[in-house]
Formats: sequence, structure tokens, C-alpha cells
Amino acid sequence: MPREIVTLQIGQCGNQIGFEYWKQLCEEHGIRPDGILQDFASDVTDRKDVFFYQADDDHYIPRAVLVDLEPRVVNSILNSPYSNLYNPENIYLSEHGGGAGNNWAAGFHAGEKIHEELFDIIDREADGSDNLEGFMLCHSTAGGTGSGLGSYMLERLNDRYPKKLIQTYSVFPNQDEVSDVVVQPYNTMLTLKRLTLHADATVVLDNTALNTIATERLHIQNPSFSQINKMVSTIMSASTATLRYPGYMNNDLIGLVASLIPTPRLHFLMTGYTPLVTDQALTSVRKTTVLDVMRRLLQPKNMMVFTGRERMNQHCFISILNIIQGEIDPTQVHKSLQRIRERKLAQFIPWGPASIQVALSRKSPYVPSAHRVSGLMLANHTSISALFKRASRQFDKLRKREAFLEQFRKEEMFAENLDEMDASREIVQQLTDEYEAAATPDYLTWGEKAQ
Amino acid sequence: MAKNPEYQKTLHSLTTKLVTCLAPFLVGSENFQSCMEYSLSNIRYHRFLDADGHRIARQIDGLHDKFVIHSKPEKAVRIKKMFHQFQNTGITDKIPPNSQVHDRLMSILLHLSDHPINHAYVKPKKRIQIEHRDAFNWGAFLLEGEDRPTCSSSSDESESENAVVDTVPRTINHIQQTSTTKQTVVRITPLEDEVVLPTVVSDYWNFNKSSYEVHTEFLSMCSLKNVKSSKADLNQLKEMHILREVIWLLSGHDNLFLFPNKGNQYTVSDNSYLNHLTQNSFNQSLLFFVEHANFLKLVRTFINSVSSQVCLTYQAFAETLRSYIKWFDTDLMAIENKVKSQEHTFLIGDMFDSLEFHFEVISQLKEVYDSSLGLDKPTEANSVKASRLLSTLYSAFVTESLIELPAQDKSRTRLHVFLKLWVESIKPYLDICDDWITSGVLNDLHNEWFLCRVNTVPDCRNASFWQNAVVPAVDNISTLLPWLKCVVDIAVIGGKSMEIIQTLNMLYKDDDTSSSINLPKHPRQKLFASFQDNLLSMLFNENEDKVTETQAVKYLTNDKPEKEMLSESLELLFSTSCFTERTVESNKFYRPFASRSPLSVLIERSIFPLLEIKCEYASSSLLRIFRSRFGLSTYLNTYHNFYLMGWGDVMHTFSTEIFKLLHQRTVLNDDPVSLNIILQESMAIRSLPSPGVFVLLNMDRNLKDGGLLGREKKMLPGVHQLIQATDCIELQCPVEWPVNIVITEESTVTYKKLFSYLMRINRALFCLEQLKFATIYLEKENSMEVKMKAHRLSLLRHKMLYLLQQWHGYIMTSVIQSEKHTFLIAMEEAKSLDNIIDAHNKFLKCVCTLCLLDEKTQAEKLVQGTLKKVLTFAITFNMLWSLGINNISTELISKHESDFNECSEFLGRILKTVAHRGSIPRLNSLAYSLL
Repeated sequence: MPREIVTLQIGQCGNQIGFEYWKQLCEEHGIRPDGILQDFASDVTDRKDVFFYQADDDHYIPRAVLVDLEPRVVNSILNSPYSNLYNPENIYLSEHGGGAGNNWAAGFHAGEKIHEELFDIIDREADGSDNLEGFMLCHSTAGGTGSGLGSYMLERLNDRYPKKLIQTYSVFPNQDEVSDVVVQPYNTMLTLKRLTLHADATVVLDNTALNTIATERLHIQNPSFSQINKMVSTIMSASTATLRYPGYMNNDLIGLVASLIPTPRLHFLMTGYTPLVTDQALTSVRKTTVLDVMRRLLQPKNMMVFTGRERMNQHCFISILNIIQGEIDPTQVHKSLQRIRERKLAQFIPWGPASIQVALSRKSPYVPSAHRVSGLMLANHTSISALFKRASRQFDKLRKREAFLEQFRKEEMFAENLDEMDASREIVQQLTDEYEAAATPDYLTWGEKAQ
Repeated sequence: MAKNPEYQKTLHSLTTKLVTCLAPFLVGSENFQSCMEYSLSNIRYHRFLDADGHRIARQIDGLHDKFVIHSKPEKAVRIKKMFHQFQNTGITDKIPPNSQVHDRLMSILLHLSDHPINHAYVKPKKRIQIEHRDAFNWGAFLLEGEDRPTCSSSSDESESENAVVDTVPRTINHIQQTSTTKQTVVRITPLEDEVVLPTVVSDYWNFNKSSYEVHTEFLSMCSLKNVKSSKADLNQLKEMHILREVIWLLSGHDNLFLFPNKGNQYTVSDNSYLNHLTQNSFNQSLLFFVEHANFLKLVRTFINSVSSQVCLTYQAFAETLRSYIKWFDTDLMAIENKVKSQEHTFLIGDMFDSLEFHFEVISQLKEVYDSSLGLDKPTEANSVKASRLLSTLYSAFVTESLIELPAQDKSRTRLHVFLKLWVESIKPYLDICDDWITSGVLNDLHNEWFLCRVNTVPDCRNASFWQNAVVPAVDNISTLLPWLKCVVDIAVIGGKSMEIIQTLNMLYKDDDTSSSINLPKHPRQKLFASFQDNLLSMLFNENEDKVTETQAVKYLTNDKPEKEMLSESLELLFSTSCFTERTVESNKFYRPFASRSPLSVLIERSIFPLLEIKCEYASSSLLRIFRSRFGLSTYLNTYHNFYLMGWGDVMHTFSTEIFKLLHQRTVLNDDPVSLNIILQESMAIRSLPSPGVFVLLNMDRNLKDGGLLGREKKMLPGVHQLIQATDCIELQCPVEWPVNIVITEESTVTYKKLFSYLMRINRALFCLEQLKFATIYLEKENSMEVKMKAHRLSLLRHKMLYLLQQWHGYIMTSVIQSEKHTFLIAMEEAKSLDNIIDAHNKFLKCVCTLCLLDEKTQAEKLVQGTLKKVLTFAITFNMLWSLGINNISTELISKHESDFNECSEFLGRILKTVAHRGSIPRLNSLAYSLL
């Protein structure tokens, strides 16, 4: 009885990172682009059935549902060597193919129209699995389809599968540069509300930080989407490593995220990854130890969320899970934890005990890597409120001037008023407040104060 | 000394005596007085008292030259030798060798020889021509008409030389008499002396040897003499008699005239004397012989008494002793022949000289005998006796080897004898060991080996075989048998390994496929033989270090040429022929030991590598069999994967299903089938052949463990809420012999204990992870109070989950995985099954200790108690949560909060205390993460 996870990839960005993710999984499990197991893939101790199922001819098919309102990205997938990997029935392309026009409301309403077809696919996938554990949603918050349709799907999934876990990999837009999508603040805000209310865990992938990392750490002048997506897929595959390579601990999604999330809303997880090298040929200077990995993971420069410089002072970690992959000496773990505690490398919440959880996982035997050890950090950090603040600020700027709202008013939801916008703003404000409150010692009685 | 009044007095009285003796004057007469004065002045001022050492030496040299000139080289040599011997011995304790006193005594002797005073002395009428063996008297023929000078005149000879010349003819006379009375065949007239003598003598000897009746004849002859003798109660004997008697004595004959056998002990009859020896000296020398003869008799009795009933060590020892005695007898026979042939003068003193080496050996043997065989009690086990013998022998030659003698030849030869005795005596030991290690059969019929098999574990299929099968049969092996100290352990391991292999009937079978060790199978050199080779080559080779290596190689390859190099010394020293061929004077056969290392080190060095190789072979073969044939690692992995949840996914699925059942308030009933189905389904996740693990519901265990979930209680509602509810689930993974040598009954119990423990923690974790926020966060509800309650519940959940996750993570990562890591390394490096067993036990012990599961100390009990409370909290919290937010009062939440905080803090503090004690440093990170 595997605990299957169905992946939904919605919109342009969602499909792109999803594509990279499946590519990565196939490589790691020794599955050829056409879904057939490589000859060398004789390792039977990995768990392919969490993310794949096998067809009659034994070739592996991802438990993935590809949804987009415009055909461009999906078509590019279908023209890639991986075209035969996916179940064609799981690909949904909007008939008119016009997309959501970067409009959240358009995407949301498109969902209302097509949800039956979508749920046909999803139900089929859910029924096809023995013991569905949950859904993984890949999308961005900036565009129309990923944010709008994604939000819609979040709501509906929560209704339809209340007992299943919903984890999202949400790409937040780059706020350093001028976006081509002017309504991006609106989209983000509206999506954030759904993420706050309907997702069980959200892995925040901040394009701002990703770009910074690409330019500053990887020395790529103008990082392309595919390079960024490669990083994202690495994070995604690493965060599911314990599910795919079972070990002593953390063998289901709920166990992975449950202890990271203290209250229903504080479920926005930052990620950090090391070593951040796209070029695998780069030789490492010395043997990486568990301590090295953990220490680097705590450095802000390795974080995939840009939170400004204020982070270390007022903010703190609520919880940390380090997934460490590779040839690890388990005896090093407690020593490293002790060292980190002694050096006070991480600051934790003042209202209760907290420290780093460590999950050890194997590495794929098929993917050559220059590094003995690599690590992913999933952290719940109060400084993520900076991201929401930033989004709120940008939203407020536009909202004050009521700029670019025409497109929204066209849709039913906003036809009469913009209450939904304000409601979303309110929810995000609450979220920001709660995150900030979580950094204070009296978070335990946080509700009372608000009273 | 001259001023000493005491001395003056004695001198005076002695001189008075002397004068009374020699001169017929009355004491006090004038003549007497002048005689006294003359004597005293002579004694005081005579040159005897300040004899010139150089002059005496010159005189002796002169005598020597004289003998040489007279073609008597033996005498020449002998006088020189005796002179030196005399010079070099202290006369009393106070007088050191080479003193003035020696010179004085010599000077007296020389003067005496110049002035014979014994009137009874009869010069032999005819000179004995010993050279004549054939009937024709060449001497008489050649010397006819010659007036021969009497070179053997007493004036030229020292005291004992006198005696010889004096004794021989007389003895011959007696013999003649006896012979004529007994044997009529040989008719002898005194004129035919020189013709008849050799024949008669040899006949006499031979006859005596074949029958003892002659002895009575001899006795009667003696008694006849006795009548004639002037001194009524003493028999005057000649050296010839004594020599003969001594030789017979030493060769173990009873019923001797001179040495009556009383109560199996020889004694010296005190009614004999030699007229040229004082009674004291005579008795002294005879006692010396008697002493050794008594012991020799003991040895002979021992050798003859040894039968197949006695333990092999004794048999081997007796056999070696026999060869030594044979050598001794041969030497004795050589002496006998020599005496018989009468070609050379041969005296009691010569007897001492020629048998000196043997006497030394014998007296040392006696010591050995007294402290080993002599101490045997009938109740003692053979092993005790054997080890005592070997230990005594060992210490005998080790002590011997430690004695530094500049003229080492003789002493080293003695050492050779004892070494040989020891080496031969340990043969049964080594053979038993060899058999055990190479063929797995412990062939110890007489229970003499230093280890013994316990009778309660007759078969190595028994689970406790490995641990209990072999016990030392001798107390303190290391002190008694120091040369075994270094090999006992490996020999035990090797032997047990081979015994298992033998029982498995896999001896040499798997060699063909994989032979990492190229031990030749045929012919397999016996351990003893190779030990001998090794020891010898080390003893006689200068660079023994190199030899150790080459020996090992040689042993493996059976290198012939190498062996031949050693064969010489081998044959010389360790064959019985060497003993027999060795003539009295020659030590040339014996090569001195080249090695400078102590003998004990050499022995250790020569035995250890051999045993090590054999044992290593046995151990590694067994390991290979275990690994390849019986899949030891697979079994261990299965245990780790299931009991310790190494297959996290499978066990997670399995336990989750059970927790769900419990969650649905289903009481786990007596039906293990459904649980087995769950387990099988869980295992189906892995597309691997399912290992033979199944579930068993063990209700008894709960009864034993305090009856919280006893049979009568189990049907009660709410039982499923108890944290112990899962304890009744027991995984079974049967292991068969021989794998159960490693995975023993006890370790399985530990595994089960750990499994229950992990199940409890997993259950608590499951209860908390299962909680959905949606249950308590109601969308419709906007009341601040409810929100507050939900918030506090969520945070309490987070804290509890955090604590349990930390604990779980600690156990899984820092304890089980870390220890497994160490264990696997140890497995890889293991050279014998023992290493693996040790590593495995250590692994389990470490896991239990690190999980604080031993519950030995107060702190550990407290930790487990508190933890159990926390785990129970988790289950009740789960129920609380599902009550619905509106049914939970703030007070209840507060109570839970404070209860839990208390537990958590207490746990953190106590762990910190434990960690600070330093025994479990890795607890530190856990302790601090809880605080």
C-alpha cells in the first residue's frame, strides 16, 4: 500500500517546473524518457510507485495531471523526448487555448467551467491509487492560469478530498525587476489567500531569491528559466527524497510536514539547498561533512526566499527539517547538531523548544554527483512575512490607485465589487501578523492580544 | 694461623700421636721429646707448608712428559686433567680453588709417591697385556727375553693410579676363582693369565647378565672372602665389583649385593669397603649412584606402567623418556663394554665423569617428576595432570635456557633433552588441537586437553553451543601453560568454527569455489610437525624474524628444499637415534642455538602463526559459509528492517494500519491472521521476495509486564487508548541453526523489546500527525474564544509533535543508524564468528543503553516513565482533539498544557543531567533541543 502522491501542474510555470521535476525523477530512478526502466536500474529498494504507476507494458507513468489554458508549454513538453512519458489522458488543454491572459479571475473562472473535466482526471488518478496520501500542486502566483486556476483547484480539492494532504510548490514572482505582468500583485494576493486557507503546506519558491542565487552564487549572467527551473526541480526532488528512498524515518508526506507546521496558517516553508552548483563537474574542495551541509543550509544566501536583511534580528525559525542525502556517517549527526547549538547558528522561537530535525536519505545511484553529501532544508521561518509584506505593499500601491482592474471587473467575481481583493488582503495581513507574532515570546497567547 | 693457640694445641696433640705411632718411645722420654721436636720443626718449617706451586706444576708436567715418552698418552692426559681438576676445586668452603693449600697437599702426595710406605703393597708379578685379544701372545713373543722397565711403578703415579694397578689383577684373581669353580670348560692356570683374562672376563660378565644365579655364587665368593678377611664384618671389594654393581644398579636390576633393594628402594650395604678409599668417600659416591638409580627405577616403572589407559600426554612423555632411557642404557652399555674389555683403566671416578651429563639430566628429571607426576592424585582429572606435567617441563627448560654458561655445550645439551621431552609431550595437545581446528573433531578420549567440551552441550546445533560449549579444563591456563596463553582464544574460536563446519558437512566443500586462503588440502601438514620445524629453524637460524615469515609460507607450500636444510638438525636432535649415537665425549652433534631470543618467546613465535593460520582458515571458512550459504547479513538485515524499522515505508504502512484499527476502537483480538495480512500487504510495497517474518499476538507478555493489558482486561473499552496496546504485537522471524549462534534467543528478545518501544513512539507520532487543523478550526466559528482554544491546541500539538519527533529522530538517526553504521563496519572487518557475535551484542547493548532502555539507574527509569506519560498524552490528546473544539474547555487545555510542559521540561532536565554525566555524549543535542 504505497502512499501515492498525485502531482498537479497548472499553468505555464507549473508545467515547466513540473516537466523539470519529472525529468529529474526519471533520471534518479533510472527511467527512460519513454517510461521504460533502464537496463542498469536494478536497484529495487527505491519507491517508484509513490510518484509513478506502471502500465500494462510495465512502463512507468507519472501520477501527474498537466493543466494549462494555453497549449504552448504543454506542446513543448509533448515535443520533447518525454512526450510519451505522460498519460495523454492526464493532459488537459483548454479548448480555446487562449490562456487566462495573466488574469487571476480569468483563470479562476475558467476553472469553474472546466472543473468537471479536471476532476474526471483527478478522480481517476485518485481512484487508481491504493492509498492516496495527497496532492502536489505546482504553479506560480503571478500569472493567470497558475494562480487563478490553481486557486480554484485548491479550493475544490480541499472540499473534495478533505482528508488528503495538499502541498503546493508555489513560485513567487521576482519583485526586483519590473514584471511584464502588471497585475501580478493582484494575482499574488488573491492566490495567497487560497494558499493560506486551503493548502496544507506551501513550499515557497521565490523567483527573487532564485535569480539572486543564480547570478551571485552560480555566476550566471542572465539566468534562463530552464536554469532556474533546474534549481526548482532539484529542490522538489530532494524534498520528496525520503518518500522515494525509504529509510528509517519520514516515509510519508504528513510525517515530513506535520511537525514543521505549528498552526494551520503558518505553513509557508522556505527552502535552502546546498551545494548549489548547476555544473556538476565543479570539483569540491574537500570532503563535505554533515556539519558543513547543515551550516551552509542555515546561511541566508542559500535560501530560496528573499527576505531582506532584517531577517536575523527579529525573526526566528519555528521549525527546521534538514533532508540530507548521500554518503552520510550517521554518527556525525548529533555532533553537528550539538555544534550548531553551541555556535548559536540558528535562532529559534522563544515560546517553546525547537531545533533542527534531520532526515537521512539515500541518493540516487544513477545520477552522478560531484558531492558526497547534499542537503535540503525545509524551514518554517517567521521572516517569510517579509515576502507577504512585500506582496501586500505592491498590492496596496496598485489597489490604492485601482490600477489595472478592468480585466478583473470583467469577471463575475469582481463584477460588482472588489471585496474579494480586500478579503484576500485581510487574510494575508493576518498571516503576516501571525508570522510576526510567532517571533515573539507571547505567541502562545497571541489570540488573546488580538482580542 | 700459627699464632692460634687452638691450632697449636691440636698440632701438638696430633704430633704426639704421630710420634707414638711411629717410634717405640715412651711418652715423656728424652727420645720421644727429641722426636717431637724433630717432627714439629719439620711440620712447622718443612717445605711442605710452603710448597712452590710452580715446582709442583713442573713436576706434574714432568710426569706427563714421562707418560708420553712411555707411550701412555691416556695416563699423561689423565694426570694433567686430574691435576687441573684438583686445582680448580675448593677443598672446603673456606679454601678457594688454586690456593696454597692445594699446592701443599700436592706436594705431600708427590712426596708420598716418592716414598712408598705401604708394606702390604704387592707389586704385580706380571704386567697385564691388555692389547692381546687373540690367542697368540704377541707381547710375550715380541718382548721375549727383554727386560722390561716397570713404568707403572707406584712411585710415578698418584693415589688413584696406584689403586688401579693394585685393583685390577686382584679382581682378575677373584674372577678366575669364580670362573674355575663355576665353569669347568675354561681351565686356567696362573701362567696363562694374559691369554685367558679377556675371555674369562667377558664370559663372566655375559653369564651374569643372562642369569642371576651367578650372583649367589658371587655372594658365596664374597662370603668366602669374608671368612678370609681380616676385618670380620666388612667385605673388601675391588673397583671392578663396584663398577659392575653400579652398572647393574643403573640399568635397573634388582637383587644386588652391594645395593640391597629394600622396599623398592636401593640402599647401600654398609658392610663393604674399598681399601684405597675411605669409608666415607666410598659411601658418598655409592649413595650418589643409589640416589639416581632409585629415580631411574621410578622412571622405568613409570614407563612400563604407561598403557593406553593413561592420557596421551603421559604416553608421549613416557615414550620420550623411554628413548632417553634407551640412550642412557646405550651409554651404560658402552661403559660396560669398556670396563669389560679392560683395555683402559676405568674407575668409579671415570664413571662419574662419563655419566655426569646423564646424572645432571636425571637429577633434573627427578625435580620435574617430583613436582608433576609425583603430585598426581587419583582423583585429579587427566587435564590437570597433563597440564601440570607440561607446565613443569616447560619451566624446567625455560629455566635451563636462562642459565648463562660460558661453556655451554653440556648445559645446552641438557636443554636439548628437556626441550625434546617437552616438545614430544605436547604432541597430544597439539594433535588434539590440530584435529579440532582442521577437522572439527575434538578427539580427547582421556579428557586431558586444557579445554573440555561441556557435556550439557553435546551437539553444536544447540543454541548455546558457541557460548557454553568449551570451558577451560585447567584453572589459570595462562600461568600454567604460558606458551598457550596467546593461542587459547583463537584456538577456541577456530575449533568451534571448524566443529560447526564439520557438523554442517561442508568441510573443504566450498574451498573449490572460493579459496581466498590457499591452504593445501593434501597433504595437510600436521600442526605438530610444522611446529617442530618452525621451532627448530628458529633455534638454529640466526635471523629468526625472517624465518617466522618464511616458515608460514613454507608451511603453506610444503617447500621441500627448505625442509632439507633443517633435516640435519632435526634428525640429530629429535630422533632417538641421535640419543643413542651420541657418544660419551662428543657433543659435536649438537649445534648450539643460534637464536638469541628467549626460548619462551621463540616457542610462542613458532606456535602462534601456525595456529593463527589454521584458526583463521577455520574462522574465515565459517564466516564465508555463514555469509554465502546461510545469508547471515540477510538475516541481520531482516531483523534491522523489521524490528528496528529499517524498512521505514513497509513498517510505516504496517503500523499505520494497526494504529488505524486501534483508532477505530477496534480491540486487537486474538486473531493474528488479519495482522499478518496487513504485514504481507505492507511488504508487497517492496518488490522483493518476502522474508519469513510474521506477526504473533502475544497476550501473555502483557500479563507478565504488569498486567495492564491482561487477558481479563483486554475486552474492556478503552484498552485501545493505552499506549501498551501495541505491545502484544510481536514480530516473528525464525532463525535456524547455525544463524542463531549470532542472532541468539536473547538478542531476539532485545529486538522485540526495541520493536515494542518503536511501535509505541510511532503510535504516539501517528496520533499527533493524524490531527487535522480543520477539525478544530471551524470556518463558521468566529468567536475569539474558540479561535484562542484552537490556537492553543495547535501549539500544544506542535510542541508534543516536536518532542516526539526529536525523540524519534534521536533514536533512529543518532542511535540505530549510527550504531548500525558502526556495526556494519565491524561486520566487514570481522575475522571470526566471535567478532560478529561480539559486534552484534555490542550493537544491541549500545542501542538499548543509548535509548535509555536499560532502566537500571533512577534517571533512566524516570526518563522512561516520563516518556510513557508523554506517549499516553499523545493518545489522549488525539481523543481530545476529536471531541470538537466546542466540547473542550479552556481549563482542560490549560491542564493539558501545564501537564505536558511539566513532562517536557522534566524530560529535558533529566536528559541534560544524564548527558552531563558524560556516558552518553550524544544525548546532549537531544536534551538541549527539549529545553
